[in-house]
Amino acid sequence: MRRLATMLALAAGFGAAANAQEPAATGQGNQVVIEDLRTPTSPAFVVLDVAPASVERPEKPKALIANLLSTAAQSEGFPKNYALEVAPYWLKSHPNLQFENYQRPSIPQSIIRTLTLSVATAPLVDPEAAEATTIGSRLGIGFRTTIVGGQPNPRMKAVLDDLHNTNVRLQNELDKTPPDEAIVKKLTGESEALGKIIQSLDQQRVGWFVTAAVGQAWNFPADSIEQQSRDRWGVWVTPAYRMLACVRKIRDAGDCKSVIDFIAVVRSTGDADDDERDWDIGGRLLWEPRPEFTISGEFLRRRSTEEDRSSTERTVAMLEYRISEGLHLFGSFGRTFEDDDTRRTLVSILGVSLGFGANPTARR
Amino acid sequence: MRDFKRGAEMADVDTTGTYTVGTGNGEVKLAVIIGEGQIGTTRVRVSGIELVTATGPVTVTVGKAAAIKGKSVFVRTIVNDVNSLTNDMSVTYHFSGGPSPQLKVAKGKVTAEGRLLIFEGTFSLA
Repeated sequence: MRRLATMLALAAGFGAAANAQEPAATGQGNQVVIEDLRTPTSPAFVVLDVAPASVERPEKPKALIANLLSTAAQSEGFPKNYALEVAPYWLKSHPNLQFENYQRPSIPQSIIRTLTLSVATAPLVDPEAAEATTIGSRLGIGFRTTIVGGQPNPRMKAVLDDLHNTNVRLQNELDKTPPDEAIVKKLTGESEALGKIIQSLDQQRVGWFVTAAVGQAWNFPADSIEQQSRDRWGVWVTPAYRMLACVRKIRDAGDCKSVIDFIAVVRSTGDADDDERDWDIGGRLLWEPRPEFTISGEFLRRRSTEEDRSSTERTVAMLEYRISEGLHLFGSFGRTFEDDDTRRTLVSILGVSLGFGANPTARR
Repeated sequence: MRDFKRGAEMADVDTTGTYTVGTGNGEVKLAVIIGEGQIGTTRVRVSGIELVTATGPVTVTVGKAAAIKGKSVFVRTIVNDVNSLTNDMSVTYHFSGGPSPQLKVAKGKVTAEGRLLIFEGTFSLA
Protein backbone atom coordinates (compact mmCIF):
# COMPACT_ATOMS: atom_id res chain seq x y z
CA MET A 1 0.00 0.00 0.00
CA ARG A 2 1.41 3.31 -1.07
CA ARG A 3 -0.08 5.25 1.76
CA LEU A 4 2.44 6.31 4.29
CA ALA A 5 0.30 6.39 7.36
CA THR A 6 1.21 7.55 10.79
CA MET A 7 -1.25 6.52 13.39
CA LEU A 8 -1.37 8.42 16.60
CA ALA A 9 -3.06 6.56 19.39
CA LEU A 10 -5.28 9.41 20.46
CA ALA A 11 -7.39 6.95 22.33
CA ALA A 12 -6.63 3.32 22.75
CA GLY A 13 -10.27 2.45 22.85
CA PHE A 14 -13.75 3.69 23.47
CA GLY A 15 -14.19 1.34 26.40
CA ALA A 16 -12.08 -0.09 29.15
CA ALA A 17 -12.75 -3.57 27.86
CA ALA A 18 -10.99 -2.86 24.62
CA ASN A 19 -8.75 -5.80 24.03
CA ALA A 20 -8.20 -5.80 20.33
CA GLN A 21 -7.10 -3.21 17.87
CA GLU A 22 -6.35 -3.28 14.21
CA PRO A 23 -4.75 -0.93 11.78
CA ALA A 24 -7.15 1.04 9.61
CA ALA A 25 -6.14 -0.60 6.41
CA THR A 26 -3.80 -3.51 6.57
CA GLY A 27 -5.74 -6.22 4.81
CA GLN A 28 -3.75 -8.82 6.66
CA GLY A 29 -4.80 -12.11 8.13
CA ASN A 30 -8.28 -12.57 9.47
CA GLN A 31 -9.13 -8.89 9.61
CA VAL A 32 -11.35 -7.24 7.09
CA VAL A 33 -10.93 -3.52 6.61
CA ILE A 34 -13.08 -1.01 4.81
CA GLU A 35 -11.25 -1.35 1.53
CA ASP A 36 -11.85 -5.09 1.61
CA LEU A 37 -15.54 -4.50 0.96
CA ARG A 38 -14.73 -3.10 -2.44
CA THR A 39 -14.14 -5.24 -5.45
CA PRO A 40 -10.36 -5.06 -5.74
CA THR A 41 -9.04 -2.89 -8.54
CA SER A 42 -6.27 -5.38 -9.26
CA PRO A 43 -7.38 -8.89 -8.22
CA ALA A 44 -4.06 -10.37 -9.38
CA PHE A 45 -2.27 -8.38 -6.68
CA VAL A 46 -4.78 -9.47 -4.05
CA VAL A 47 -4.51 -13.20 -4.69
CA LEU A 48 -0.72 -12.85 -4.66
CA ASP A 49 -0.95 -10.66 -1.54
CA VAL A 50 1.45 -8.11 -3.02
CA ALA A 51 1.40 -4.33 -3.30
CA PRO A 52 3.71 -3.54 -6.21
CA ALA A 53 5.72 -0.37 -5.91
CA SER A 54 5.34 0.24 -9.63
CA VAL A 55 2.74 -1.02 -12.06
CA GLU A 56 3.12 -0.97 -15.83
CA ARG A 57 0.04 0.53 -17.49
CA PRO A 58 0.57 0.55 -21.26
CA GLU A 59 -2.04 2.52 -23.19
CA LYS A 60 -1.30 1.31 -26.70
CA PRO A 61 -0.71 -2.15 -28.22
CA LYS A 62 2.82 -1.18 -29.26
CA ALA A 63 3.64 -0.09 -25.72
CA LEU A 64 2.17 -3.32 -24.34
CA ILE A 65 4.21 -5.52 -26.69
CA ALA A 66 7.38 -3.50 -26.08
CA ASN A 67 6.85 -3.78 -22.34
CA LEU A 68 6.35 -7.55 -22.47
CA LEU A 69 9.38 -8.06 -24.71
CA SER A 70 11.54 -5.80 -22.56
CA THR A 71 10.48 -7.55 -19.36
CA ALA A 72 11.12 -10.98 -20.84
CA ALA A 73 14.56 -9.93 -22.07
CA GLN A 74 15.60 -8.35 -18.77
CA SER A 75 14.40 -11.15 -16.53
CA GLU A 76 16.23 -13.95 -18.36
CA GLY A 77 13.38 -16.31 -17.63
CA PHE A 78 10.42 -15.82 -15.35
CA PRO A 79 9.90 -12.07 -14.68
CA LYS A 80 10.46 -11.13 -11.04
CA ASN A 81 8.27 -8.67 -9.16
CA TYR A 82 6.48 -7.62 -12.30
CA ALA A 83 3.09 -5.93 -12.25
CA LEU A 84 0.90 -5.00 -15.20
CA GLU A 85 -2.55 -3.51 -15.53
CA VAL A 86 -4.18 -3.05 -18.87
CA ALA A 87 -7.64 -2.09 -20.10
CA PRO A 88 -7.92 -3.89 -23.47
CA TYR A 89 -10.79 -1.74 -24.78
CA TRP A 90 -8.80 1.47 -24.43
CA LEU A 91 -5.73 0.11 -26.21
CA LYS A 92 -7.29 1.23 -29.48
CA SER A 93 -9.02 4.37 -30.67
CA HIS A 94 -12.83 4.65 -30.68
CA PRO A 95 -13.79 7.56 -32.96
CA ASN A 96 -17.45 6.56 -32.85
CA LEU A 97 -17.73 6.48 -29.07
CA GLN A 98 -19.66 9.62 -28.29
CA PHE A 99 -19.92 11.21 -24.86
CA GLU A 100 -23.61 10.38 -24.48
CA ASN A 101 -23.01 6.70 -25.14
CA TYR A 102 -19.94 6.72 -22.90
CA GLN A 103 -22.12 8.13 -20.13
CA ARG A 104 -24.99 5.67 -20.62
CA PRO A 105 -23.56 2.35 -21.78
CA SER A 106 -25.55 -0.83 -22.08
CA ILE A 107 -24.52 -3.71 -19.83
CA PRO A 108 -22.37 -5.44 -22.51
CA GLN A 109 -20.76 -2.10 -23.39
CA SER A 110 -20.02 -1.39 -19.74
CA ILE A 111 -18.46 -4.82 -19.23
CA ILE A 112 -16.20 -4.44 -22.26
CA ARG A 113 -15.17 -0.83 -21.61
CA THR A 114 -14.33 -1.29 -17.94
CA LEU A 115 -12.66 -4.68 -18.22
CA THR A 116 -9.14 -4.60 -16.83
CA LEU A 117 -6.55 -7.34 -16.76
CA SER A 118 -4.01 -7.41 -13.97
CA VAL A 119 -0.91 -9.59 -13.95
CA ALA A 120 1.73 -9.82 -11.25
CA THR A 121 4.63 -12.00 -10.30
CA ALA A 122 6.33 -12.48 -6.95
CA PRO A 123 9.02 -14.73 -5.51
CA LEU A 124 7.90 -18.12 -4.22
CA VAL A 125 9.31 -18.40 -0.71
CA ASP A 126 9.99 -21.71 1.03
CA PRO A 127 7.51 -21.75 3.94
CA GLU A 128 9.56 -24.34 5.83
CA ALA A 129 12.86 -22.43 5.77
CA ALA A 130 13.86 -20.37 8.83
CA GLU A 131 15.00 -17.49 6.65
CA ALA A 132 13.19 -16.29 3.56
CA THR A 133 14.50 -18.46 0.76
CA THR A 134 13.24 -18.05 -2.78
CA ILE A 135 12.51 -21.37 -4.40
CA GLY A 136 10.67 -20.20 -7.49
CA SER A 137 8.08 -17.73 -8.67
CA ARG A 138 4.40 -16.98 -8.22
CA LEU A 139 2.09 -15.64 -10.89
CA GLY A 140 -1.27 -13.97 -10.40
CA ILE A 141 -3.80 -13.10 -13.09
CA GLY A 142 -7.03 -11.25 -12.49
CA PHE A 143 -9.92 -9.61 -14.27
CA ARG A 144 -12.20 -6.85 -13.06
CA THR A 145 -15.17 -5.21 -14.67
CA THR A 146 -18.14 -3.00 -13.95
CA ILE A 147 -21.30 -4.72 -15.09
CA VAL A 148 -23.64 -1.88 -14.17
CA GLY A 149 -22.10 1.55 -13.83
CA GLY A 150 -24.89 3.74 -12.49
CA GLN A 151 -26.32 6.89 -14.03
CA PRO A 152 -24.70 10.28 -14.63
CA ASN A 153 -24.57 12.54 -11.61
CA PRO A 154 -27.52 15.00 -11.68
CA ARG A 155 -25.03 17.89 -11.50
CA MET A 156 -23.62 16.83 -14.86
CA LYS A 157 -26.17 18.71 -16.98
CA ALA A 158 -25.52 22.05 -15.28
CA VAL A 159 -21.76 21.69 -15.68
CA LEU A 160 -22.17 20.70 -19.34
CA ASP A 161 -24.21 23.86 -19.87
CA ASP A 162 -21.42 25.90 -18.27
CA LEU A 163 -18.88 24.17 -20.48
CA HIS A 164 -20.94 24.95 -23.58
CA ASN A 165 -21.18 28.64 -22.66
CA THR A 166 -17.45 28.86 -21.94
CA ASN A 167 -16.50 27.08 -25.16
CA VAL A 168 -18.80 29.34 -27.19
CA ARG A 169 -17.01 32.38 -25.72
CA LEU A 170 -13.70 30.73 -26.61
CA GLN A 171 -14.95 30.09 -30.15
CA ASN A 172 -15.98 33.75 -30.44
CA GLU A 173 -12.55 34.91 -29.32
CA LEU A 174 -10.78 32.52 -31.68
CA ASP A 175 -12.87 33.94 -34.55
CA LYS A 176 -11.33 37.36 -34.05
CA THR A 177 -8.36 38.42 -36.13
CA PRO A 178 -6.12 38.18 -34.28
CA PRO A 179 -7.52 36.61 -31.11
CA ASP A 180 -6.47 38.13 -27.81
CA GLU A 181 -4.09 35.55 -26.40
CA ALA A 182 -4.72 36.58 -22.81
CA ILE A 183 -8.46 36.10 -23.20
CA VAL A 184 -7.94 32.80 -25.03
CA LYS A 185 -5.70 31.64 -22.24
CA LYS A 186 -8.21 32.66 -19.57
CA LEU A 187 -11.14 30.97 -21.31
CA THR A 188 -9.05 27.87 -21.99
CA GLY A 189 -8.28 27.65 -18.29
CA GLU A 190 -11.97 27.96 -17.44
CA SER A 191 -12.90 25.34 -20.01
CA GLU A 192 -10.28 22.91 -18.75
CA ALA A 193 -11.41 23.44 -15.17
CA LEU A 194 -14.95 22.55 -16.18
CA GLY A 195 -13.63 19.49 -18.04
CA LYS A 196 -11.99 18.32 -14.83
CA ILE A 197 -15.22 18.82 -12.93
CA ILE A 198 -17.00 16.65 -15.50
CA GLN A 199 -14.31 14.00 -15.07
CA SER A 200 -14.82 14.20 -11.33
CA LEU A 201 -18.61 13.96 -11.63
CA ASP A 202 -18.14 10.90 -13.81
CA GLN A 203 -16.58 9.26 -10.76
CA GLN A 204 -19.59 10.29 -8.66
CA ARG A 205 -22.32 8.56 -10.57
CA VAL A 206 -25.52 7.53 -8.85
CA GLY A 207 -27.92 4.59 -8.97
CA TRP A 208 -27.11 0.92 -9.24
CA PHE A 209 -23.61 -0.44 -9.60
CA VAL A 210 -22.38 -3.99 -9.92
CA THR A 211 -18.69 -4.72 -10.09
CA ALA A 212 -17.09 -8.13 -10.29
CA ALA A 213 -13.59 -9.51 -10.19
CA VAL A 214 -11.82 -12.85 -10.29
CA GLY A 215 -8.22 -13.70 -9.56
CA GLN A 216 -6.08 -16.81 -9.57
CA ALA A 217 -2.51 -17.38 -8.44
CA TRP A 218 -0.12 -20.11 -9.48
CA ASN A 219 3.16 -21.33 -8.00
CA PHE A 220 6.13 -22.23 -10.16
CA PRO A 221 8.75 -24.06 -8.03
CA ALA A 222 12.22 -23.74 -9.60
CA ASP A 223 10.54 -21.52 -12.21
CA SER A 224 9.42 -24.70 -13.91
CA ILE A 225 6.19 -24.72 -15.88
CA GLU A 226 5.98 -28.49 -15.51
CA GLN A 227 5.88 -28.18 -11.72
CA GLN A 228 3.29 -25.42 -11.61
CA SER A 229 0.42 -25.69 -9.18
CA ARG A 230 -2.65 -23.59 -8.55
CA ASP A 231 -2.61 -21.45 -5.44
CA ARG A 232 -5.01 -18.87 -3.99
CA TRP A 233 -8.05 -17.65 -5.86
CA GLY A 234 -10.78 -15.15 -5.23
CA VAL A 235 -14.15 -14.12 -6.62
CA TRP A 236 -15.78 -10.82 -5.75
CA VAL A 237 -19.19 -9.44 -6.65
CA THR A 238 -20.16 -6.05 -5.27
CA PRO A 239 -23.63 -4.66 -5.93
CA ALA A 240 -24.11 -1.12 -4.70
CA TYR A 241 -26.63 1.67 -4.78
CA ARG A 242 -25.79 5.35 -4.43
CA MET A 243 -28.34 8.11 -3.95
CA LEU A 244 -28.16 11.82 -3.33
CA ALA A 245 -29.22 12.74 0.18
CA CYS A 246 -30.50 16.28 -0.16
CA VAL A 247 -33.87 17.94 -0.14
CA ARG A 248 -35.40 18.22 -3.58
CA LYS A 249 -34.75 21.96 -3.93
CA ILE A 250 -30.99 21.50 -3.54
CA ARG A 251 -31.01 18.33 -5.64
CA ASP A 252 -32.83 20.04 -8.51
CA ALA A 253 -30.39 22.94 -8.36
CA GLY A 254 -27.56 20.49 -8.93
CA ASP A 255 -25.82 21.49 -5.71
CA CYS A 256 -26.25 18.26 -3.77
CA LYS A 257 -22.99 16.83 -2.50
CA SER A 258 -24.41 14.59 0.21
CA VAL A 259 -24.71 10.93 -0.72
CA ILE A 260 -25.83 7.66 0.80
CA ASP A 261 -24.25 4.43 -0.39
CA PHE A 262 -25.40 0.92 0.22
CA ILE A 263 -22.76 -1.59 -0.71
CA ALA A 264 -23.28 -5.31 -0.61
CA VAL A 265 -20.49 -7.81 -1.02
CA VAL A 266 -20.27 -11.44 -1.91
CA ARG A 267 -16.74 -12.76 -1.79
CA SER A 268 -15.22 -16.18 -1.88
CA THR A 269 -11.56 -16.96 -1.46
CA GLY A 270 -9.71 -20.21 -1.14
CA ASP A 271 -6.73 -22.33 -1.98
CA ALA A 272 -6.74 -24.65 -4.93
CA ASP A 273 -4.85 -27.35 -3.05
CA ASP A 274 -7.80 -28.11 -0.82
CA ASP A 275 -11.53 -27.68 -1.03
CA GLU A 276 -11.69 -25.20 1.82
CA ARG A 277 -12.93 -21.77 1.08
CA ASP A 278 -14.22 -18.71 2.90
CA TRP A 279 -17.47 -17.04 1.98
CA ASP A 280 -18.03 -13.45 3.05
CA ILE A 281 -21.48 -12.01 2.61
CA GLY A 282 -22.58 -8.66 3.96
CA GLY A 283 -22.87 -5.01 3.30
CA ARG A 284 -22.13 -1.50 4.35
CA LEU A 285 -24.31 1.57 4.68
CA LEU A 286 -22.38 4.79 4.20
CA TRP A 287 -23.55 8.35 4.63
CA GLU A 288 -21.43 11.18 3.31
CA PRO A 289 -23.16 14.38 4.43
CA ARG A 290 -20.24 16.41 3.14
CA PRO A 291 -17.40 15.33 0.85
CA GLU A 292 -14.94 15.50 3.76
CA PHE A 293 -17.00 13.51 6.26
CA THR A 294 -18.27 9.94 6.11
CA ILE A 295 -19.99 7.76 8.63
CA SER A 296 -20.72 4.12 7.93
CA GLY A 297 -21.65 0.80 9.40
CA GLU A 298 -20.97 -2.64 8.03
CA PHE A 299 -22.01 -6.18 8.67
CA LEU A 300 -20.13 -9.13 7.26
CA ARG A 301 -20.76 -12.80 7.85
CA ARG A 302 -17.92 -15.21 7.15
CA ARG A 303 -18.63 -18.84 6.57
CA SER A 304 -15.85 -21.34 6.08
CA THR A 305 -16.13 -24.79 4.58
CA GLU A 306 -13.37 -25.89 6.94
CA GLU A 307 -14.85 -28.43 9.35
CA ASP A 308 -13.47 -27.07 12.62
CA ARG A 309 -14.27 -23.44 11.90
CA SER A 310 -17.70 -22.07 12.57
CA SER A 311 -19.31 -19.02 11.03
CA THR A 312 -18.21 -15.70 12.41
CA GLU A 313 -19.43 -12.15 11.99
CA ARG A 314 -18.17 -8.62 11.92
CA THR A 315 -20.27 -5.58 12.82
CA VAL A 316 -18.43 -2.30 12.86
CA ALA A 317 -19.30 1.39 12.76
CA MET A 318 -16.77 3.78 11.25
CA LEU A 319 -16.30 7.46 10.72
CA GLU A 320 -13.75 9.48 8.85
CA TYR A 321 -13.20 13.21 8.64
CA ARG A 322 -10.82 14.84 6.23
CA ILE A 323 -9.27 17.69 8.19
CA SER A 324 -7.21 18.82 5.23
CA GLU A 325 -5.68 17.30 2.11
CA GLY A 326 -3.87 14.15 3.25
CA LEU A 327 -4.85 14.54 6.91
CA HIS A 328 -7.70 12.34 8.12
CA LEU A 329 -9.27 11.63 11.47
CA PHE A 330 -10.81 8.18 11.59
CA GLY A 331 -12.39 5.86 14.07
CA SER A 332 -14.09 2.49 14.18
CA PHE A 333 -15.88 0.55 16.85
CA GLY A 334 -17.58 -2.80 16.91
CA ARG A 335 -17.08 -6.51 16.80
CA THR A 336 -14.88 -8.21 14.27
CA PHE A 337 -14.38 -11.84 13.26
CA GLU A 338 -13.34 -14.20 15.98
CA ASP A 339 -9.64 -14.84 15.73
CA ASP A 340 -8.73 -18.52 15.85
CA ASP A 341 -5.81 -17.89 18.17
CA THR A 342 -6.71 -15.02 20.43
CA ARG A 343 -10.52 -15.08 20.43
CA ARG A 344 -10.40 -11.30 20.49
CA THR A 345 -13.30 -9.64 18.73
CA LEU A 346 -13.53 -6.00 19.81
CA VAL A 347 -12.64 -3.33 17.28
CA SER A 348 -11.87 0.00 18.86
CA ILE A 349 -9.71 2.60 17.26
CA LEU A 350 -9.45 6.34 16.88
CA GLY A 351 -6.57 7.78 14.94
CA VAL A 352 -5.13 10.33 12.61
CA SER A 353 -3.81 9.39 9.22
CA LEU A 354 -1.19 11.48 7.46
CA GLY A 355 -1.42 10.20 3.92
CA PHE A 356 0.42 11.10 0.78
CA GLY A 357 -1.42 10.59 -2.46
CA ALA A 358 -3.99 8.14 -1.18
CA ASN A 359 -7.71 8.52 -0.84
CA PRO A 360 -9.50 8.37 2.46
CA THR A 361 -10.29 4.85 3.51
CA ALA A 362 -14.04 5.29 3.71
CA ARG A 363 -14.79 5.43 0.05
CA ARG A 364 -16.81 3.17 -2.11
CA MET B 1 -3.05 24.22 -19.16
CA ARG B 2 -2.90 23.70 -22.90
CA ASP B 3 0.29 24.85 -24.59
CA PHE B 4 -0.41 27.88 -26.73
CA LYS B 5 0.70 28.50 -30.22
CA ARG B 6 1.60 32.07 -31.00
CA GLY B 7 -0.21 34.22 -33.50
CA ALA B 8 -3.34 33.39 -35.39
CA GLU B 9 -2.61 29.66 -35.66
CA MET B 10 -4.34 28.40 -32.55
CA ALA B 11 -5.30 24.92 -33.75
CA ASP B 12 -3.65 21.86 -32.24
CA VAL B 13 -4.87 19.46 -34.94
CA ASP B 14 -5.38 20.65 -38.51
CA THR B 15 -7.25 18.73 -41.19
CA THR B 16 -7.75 19.72 -44.79
CA GLY B 17 -9.57 18.07 -47.66
CA THR B 18 -11.83 18.41 -50.65
CA TYR B 19 -15.35 17.12 -50.95
CA THR B 20 -16.92 16.65 -54.35
CA VAL B 21 -20.49 17.92 -54.11
CA GLY B 22 -21.43 17.40 -57.74
CA THR B 23 -23.79 19.64 -59.62
CA GLY B 24 -27.27 18.54 -58.64
CA ASN B 25 -29.79 20.02 -56.25
CA GLY B 26 -29.15 17.44 -53.56
CA GLU B 27 -28.48 18.73 -50.08
CA VAL B 28 -24.95 18.28 -48.84
CA LYS B 29 -24.69 17.47 -45.16
CA LEU B 30 -21.83 17.45 -42.72
CA ALA B 31 -21.75 15.45 -39.51
CA VAL B 32 -19.07 16.18 -36.93
CA ILE B 33 -18.59 13.49 -34.29
CA ILE B 34 -16.39 13.76 -31.24
CA GLY B 35 -15.11 10.30 -30.32
CA GLU B 36 -13.28 8.54 -27.48
CA GLY B 37 -16.09 9.41 -25.08
CA GLN B 38 -14.96 13.03 -24.97
CA ILE B 39 -17.09 16.15 -25.27
CA GLY B 40 -16.55 19.34 -27.21
CA THR B 41 -18.06 22.36 -28.90
CA THR B 42 -18.14 22.63 -32.69
CA ARG B 43 -18.64 25.67 -34.89
CA VAL B 44 -19.24 25.23 -38.63
CA ARG B 45 -18.83 28.05 -41.14
CA VAL B 46 -19.35 28.09 -44.90
CA SER B 47 -17.38 30.83 -46.62
CA GLY B 48 -17.29 32.76 -43.36
CA ILE B 49 -20.98 32.43 -42.51
CA GLU B 50 -21.73 30.59 -39.30
CA LEU B 51 -24.08 27.63 -39.74
CA VAL B 52 -24.09 26.18 -36.27
CA THR B 53 -22.34 26.16 -32.90
CA ALA B 54 -23.19 23.23 -30.67
CA THR B 55 -21.79 21.01 -27.96
CA GLY B 56 -21.82 17.30 -28.76
CA PRO B 57 -22.37 15.69 -32.14
CA VAL B 58 -23.39 18.05 -34.93
CA THR B 59 -25.23 17.38 -38.17
CA VAL B 60 -25.75 20.38 -40.42
CA THR B 61 -27.02 20.98 -43.92
CA VAL B 62 -24.28 22.80 -45.78
CA GLY B 63 -26.47 23.65 -48.76
CA LYS B 64 -27.57 22.51 -52.19
CA ALA B 65 -24.69 21.18 -54.23
CA ALA B 66 -24.98 23.67 -57.04
CA ALA B 67 -25.12 26.59 -54.60
CA ILE B 68 -22.09 25.66 -52.49
CA LYS B 69 -19.78 24.36 -55.20
CA GLY B 70 -16.50 26.28 -55.04
CA LYS B 71 -16.99 27.39 -51.43
CA SER B 72 -15.14 26.14 -48.38
CA VAL B 73 -16.28 24.73 -45.07
CA PHE B 74 -14.42 25.60 -41.89
CA VAL B 75 -14.99 23.49 -38.78
CA ARG B 76 -13.48 24.26 -35.40
CA THR B 77 -14.03 21.86 -32.51
CA ILE B 78 -12.85 22.51 -28.97
CA VAL B 79 -12.51 19.04 -27.46
CA ASN B 80 -12.32 18.67 -23.68
CA ASP B 81 -10.75 15.65 -22.02
CA VAL B 82 -13.60 14.47 -19.80
CA ASN B 83 -12.89 10.74 -20.09
CA SER B 84 -10.62 9.58 -17.29
CA LEU B 85 -9.98 6.26 -19.08
CA THR B 86 -8.13 7.76 -22.04
CA ASN B 87 -6.38 10.94 -23.11
CA ASP B 88 -7.05 10.18 -26.76
CA MET B 89 -9.25 12.50 -28.78
CA SER B 90 -10.76 12.28 -32.22
CA VAL B 91 -13.03 14.30 -34.46
CA THR B 92 -14.75 12.64 -37.41
CA TYR B 93 -15.92 14.73 -40.37
CA HIS B 94 -18.56 12.96 -42.44
CA PHE B 95 -19.76 14.57 -45.65
CA SER B 96 -22.75 13.18 -47.51
CA GLY B 97 -25.11 14.27 -50.27
CA GLY B 98 -22.53 14.40 -53.04
CA PRO B 99 -21.82 11.64 -55.52
CA SER B 100 -20.26 9.63 -52.69
CA PRO B 101 -19.91 10.13 -48.94
CA GLN B 102 -16.56 11.00 -47.42
CA LEU B 103 -15.17 10.36 -43.98
CA LYS B 104 -12.11 11.91 -42.36
CA VAL B 105 -10.90 11.25 -38.85
CA ALA B 106 -8.55 13.64 -37.07
CA LYS B 107 -6.79 12.40 -33.96
CA GLY B 108 -5.01 14.00 -31.06
CA LYS B 109 -4.00 13.32 -27.50
CA VAL B 110 -3.79 15.60 -24.50
CA THR B 111 -0.65 15.42 -22.44
CA ALA B 112 -2.43 15.73 -19.09
CA GLU B 113 -5.83 14.97 -17.61
CA GLY B 114 -8.56 17.54 -18.21
CA ARG B 115 -6.85 19.52 -20.93
CA LEU B 116 -8.38 20.55 -24.24
CA LEU B 117 -7.35 20.47 -27.86
CA ILE B 118 -8.55 22.64 -30.71
CA PHE B 119 -9.28 20.74 -33.91
CA GLU B 120 -9.73 22.67 -37.12
CA GLY B 121 -10.89 21.29 -40.45
CA THR B 122 -10.94 23.16 -43.74
CA PHE B 123 -12.68 21.51 -46.67
CA SER B 124 -13.03 22.75 -50.21
CA LEU B 125 -16.30 21.93 -51.92
CA ALA B 126 -15.62 20.93 -55.52
